Amino acid sequence: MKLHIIHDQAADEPEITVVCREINDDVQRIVAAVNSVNCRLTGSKDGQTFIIQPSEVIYIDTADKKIFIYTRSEVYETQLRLYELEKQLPSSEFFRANKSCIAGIKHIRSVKADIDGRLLLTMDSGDKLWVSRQYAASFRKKIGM
Amino acid sequence: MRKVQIIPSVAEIFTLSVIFISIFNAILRGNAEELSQISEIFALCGEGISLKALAEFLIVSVVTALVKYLWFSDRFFKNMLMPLRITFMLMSIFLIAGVACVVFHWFPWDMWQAWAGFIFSFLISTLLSFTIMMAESAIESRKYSLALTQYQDSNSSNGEEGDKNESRD
Repeated sequence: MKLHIIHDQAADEPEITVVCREINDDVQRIVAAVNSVNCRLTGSKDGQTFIIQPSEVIYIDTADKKIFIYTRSEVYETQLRLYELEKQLPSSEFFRANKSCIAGIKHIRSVKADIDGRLLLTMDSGDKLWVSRQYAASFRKKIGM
Repeated sequence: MRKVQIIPSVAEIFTLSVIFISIFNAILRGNAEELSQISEIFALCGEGISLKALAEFLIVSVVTALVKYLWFSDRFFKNMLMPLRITFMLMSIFLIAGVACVVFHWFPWDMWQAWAGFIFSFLISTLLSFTIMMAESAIESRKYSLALTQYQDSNSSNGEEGDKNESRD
């Protein structure tokens, strides 16, 4: 894969063009990486609003109809719906673990298959999340199993 | 949990039943005459399994597969916990096998030794099944760990390459 970076003082903002014969996994990963650069989440805590980098997000969970973003040290509340967050976040780095949770793939410390087809994830924070049978198949596909 | 598919499940149960009975037939061949008096499974005196017994095994296999499908399908019990599903399935299979023993005269219903043997065999089979299931889960977990590590490595190395290229310029 070739990478050309052209400095152009006239450019208003960075522009990326991908030239490829077909849109394969590598290309999709590039697109996801580019999208992740633009992606910023906002979450509130103690009445203040914070900008959160997607790479900091370990998982996003729902409790009492509220959505919370979990990072290594903080928990933020967001007004966005889970499906909206799912659309915003880079798909190569996040996946839907169950109806109420989105997990960050790079923050999974271990995965254990249960006899009922669910998966138990232990995240970097030590928190445990279940991947329901419904979403286990897409997770399998995503990690290339 | 793998989805229970009825026809492969019937084939699996039927094949295993026939294999086990064939092994028992071979082991108990010396007592075949005596056994043929008390069990229809050994009606051919150790020379094989009768067509009638095979048909009975097939019926039991079909019913067992349907029961497995019933307990493991989300269509009927959507939010049932797995231990509960397994318990109910085992109880159902125990009941089906027990009824089949009486209805098909696999052994005399008033013979306690036969019932003791039946319960013992059932417990051993259950234990074996659990062991196999646990081993399968452990293998599956290893596969997941491997695939996940590879995915995480490939994603992080992509990111690092990008960083390196950026810094070069």
